[in-house]
Amino acid sequence: MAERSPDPAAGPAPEVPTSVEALGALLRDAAAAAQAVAVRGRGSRLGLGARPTEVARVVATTGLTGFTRLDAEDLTCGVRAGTPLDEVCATLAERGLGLASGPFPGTGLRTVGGLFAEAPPSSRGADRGALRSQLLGVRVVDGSGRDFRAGSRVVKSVTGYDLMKLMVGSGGAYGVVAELELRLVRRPAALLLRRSGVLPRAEAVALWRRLRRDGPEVLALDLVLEGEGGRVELLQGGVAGRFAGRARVPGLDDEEDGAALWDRVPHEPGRDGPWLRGAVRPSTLPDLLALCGGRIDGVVHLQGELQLRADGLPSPLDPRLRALLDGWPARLRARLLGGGPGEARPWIGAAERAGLCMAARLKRRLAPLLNPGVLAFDTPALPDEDAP
Amino acid sequence: MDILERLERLIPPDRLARDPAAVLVYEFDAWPVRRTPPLAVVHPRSTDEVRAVVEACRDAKVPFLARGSGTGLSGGATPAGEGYLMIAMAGMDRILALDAEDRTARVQPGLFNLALSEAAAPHGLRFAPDPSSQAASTIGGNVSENAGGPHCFLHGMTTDHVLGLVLVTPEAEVLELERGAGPDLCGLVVGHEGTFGIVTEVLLRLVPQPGVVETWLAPYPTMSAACRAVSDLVASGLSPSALEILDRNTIEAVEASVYAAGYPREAEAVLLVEWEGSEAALAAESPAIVDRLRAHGPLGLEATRDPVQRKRLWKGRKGAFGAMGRLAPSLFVLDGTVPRSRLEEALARSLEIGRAHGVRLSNVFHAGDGNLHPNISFDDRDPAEVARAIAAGSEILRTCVELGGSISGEHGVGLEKLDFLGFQYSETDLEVFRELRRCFDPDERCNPGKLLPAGGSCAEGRSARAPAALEGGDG
Repeated sequence: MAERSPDPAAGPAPEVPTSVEALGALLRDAAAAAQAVAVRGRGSRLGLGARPTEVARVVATTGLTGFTRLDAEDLTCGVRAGTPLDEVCATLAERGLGLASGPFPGTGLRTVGGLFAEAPPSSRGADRGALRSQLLGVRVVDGSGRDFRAGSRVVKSVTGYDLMKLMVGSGGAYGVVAELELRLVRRPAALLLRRSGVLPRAEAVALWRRLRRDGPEVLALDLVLEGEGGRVELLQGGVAGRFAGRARVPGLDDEEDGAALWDRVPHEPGRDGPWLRGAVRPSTLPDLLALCGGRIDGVVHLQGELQLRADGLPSPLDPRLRALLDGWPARLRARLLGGGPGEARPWIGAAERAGLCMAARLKRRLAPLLNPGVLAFDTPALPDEDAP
Repeated sequence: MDILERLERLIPPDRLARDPAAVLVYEFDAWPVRRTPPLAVVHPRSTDEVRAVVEACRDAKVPFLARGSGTGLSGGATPAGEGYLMIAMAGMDRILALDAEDRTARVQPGLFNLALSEAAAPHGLRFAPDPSSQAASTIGGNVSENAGGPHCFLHGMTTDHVLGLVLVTPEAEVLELERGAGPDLCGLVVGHEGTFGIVTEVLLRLVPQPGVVETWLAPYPTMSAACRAVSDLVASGLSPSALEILDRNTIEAVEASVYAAGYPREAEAVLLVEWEGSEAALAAESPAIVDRLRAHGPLGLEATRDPVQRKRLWKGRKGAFGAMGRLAPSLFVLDGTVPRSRLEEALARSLEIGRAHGVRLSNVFHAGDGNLHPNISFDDRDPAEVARAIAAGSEILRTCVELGGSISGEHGVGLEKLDFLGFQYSETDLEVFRELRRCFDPDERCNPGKLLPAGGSCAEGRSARAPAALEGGDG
């Protein structure tokens, strides 16, 4: 699970199919030979998945590029998975469109398929802005080379199983997503960013919780943690003239407006781990942070999604922090992305165990040799008690 | 020991019904075409009881299915065959926790949708998905079908509001699934139509009550004008919370019923637009919304923030399906979806199909999402009329898919649309769905015959299960 610097020279040379049919043929061939296959996009997040040297073949989606359709009137589009994310964003921006989710760090390094495979948290992830809500349909090639579709091209469909959800955030473990059908939004004509100065951490947390409870409607509300302090950033959007004559928001004295705010990432996590990623109940955030130690670097978004730099966490972990991480309905499931001292494996709570066995069963059915090691249940932390 | 003897040991007698008269009310849900009484009905009160009942079914190899209030419109809670055990979830209706700061509620599945919003209201919160059946439909049913409603245009479907759930699988395992990092099994389960197991707890997201709500009524002289107004609003990026259309047939039925809302009878279509948010945001957006509504030549424009008047405007929309009871004994509610930019074409083609089959068609639909509800009024005692209704419905759904849409926007496949899956999915797609299902339910014992034809192709499924009325006829 360690996040490593990508090394293009390591492991087998990537094979780059330029059609879904060629991708299917490649995976059929690999399955027939019982070869493990790693899947990659532009290689920006190789550390999250299988180590290329541990697999027989590497397939890159970068030959599958371009939009299959772009319907600005309907606010939907279809795009091939290997399309660079910055190209997707630029094409949409030219038409005044974008993804409800975002912005994402490293846009210039990612593919759109890779983005959905990783599903990192983002500031504009509130309400239906979660990345999983943007994926309307998929065309997938599974581990045996089968080419299938799920979902649809329209913004509302409940026909068949919501297989797209399984693909979001699963690191390519269940199949190679070749094409994506996406919901789009029109970029607001007016954007306004309001922010606090750097405050003592407890004050910043209290301000974030107060604004979350009583503040204005927002596109994003971020708590940015820096060392022993923190600051709050609030982003609003609307039609032209929306913020003329606006009232001041107590605690947020610094303001900035302009279209560029749509793409501004409030906190760029570094490439090297380890990072703690998950979601926390806002009411338990002070407890969580108190257990995390003196200096914390990271960001907490509106719904409690968080990314914290984990190498500063105390080791061994305080049992109360473990309880927070394990508990349901505490709604915090965290993955430790990387090798912090003494905690190089993901935390798996007992309550999750049966669910992870089901996740493993699904993987064995759909793509047993695809991206091995990319998910927690591929680690020794979970015995293979569910083998068929 | 047979299944009933074992159930008698697990469940008190007042929560186990086996008398034919007592189980008869469970023979169908709100899809009136198929009726099969269950073997027996159990009313569990806890996850442990559900698990024990499912375990008994597993051991006895008895098929089972769950039911909330029976408001589903696709036959999802109708037994697909003889000898099924019905697990009635309506008694598990408690709110286990409601956390105002975290904006979450942990509930049992038998809770009414509206009851959750009522409980959350004192905290300034609500549950956003609002199917027309919200006063009677349960959270478990909403999760099972991934229910929508008028305001999902802004807030999203049920799946966008589920943070976690507890699922008892057909193998009697208890899974606690939560959304977070990693594979989204919880998202996979939402919309499973009761085929992956029985959901016994749900952790839901609540949203703040809006500061201001304003509703516009815009009647139009043609359906085309109403559809163009919707397409214009959607493409503009303005953010109304609901965009609903009723056609002339529906207006007539509503205005002649107890649901009369004062819709102009001379209109060919009425468009209901709702907006919610802050005073400042409404002041900024309202002129642009009104401009777009006026650009397409409405017969008038009524706007109100008064709760009583708003309720009046919505009364006709929410009661439309009930009002159609005046037209014929039975109603076949279709649920196809098309790209919003093709609404006008889809409606025109639906009317042509209705005329060609000689069926009475009314349209009331979630225009903002492109989710059509062509409603075919028919007499279910007349097999020829049933066949014409089914044939027209099939053709309309095929048209939705041809236009780039889907055969179901919010009601699910259930029993109703099994024969139509092939319009949207290839046999390989369905094979993958079947494999997913078998991961949860290897013996296909949990609500078998729903969502997917059991084994084989759609055509095989049809010939094995469909009643005579659906097979032949003149359509």
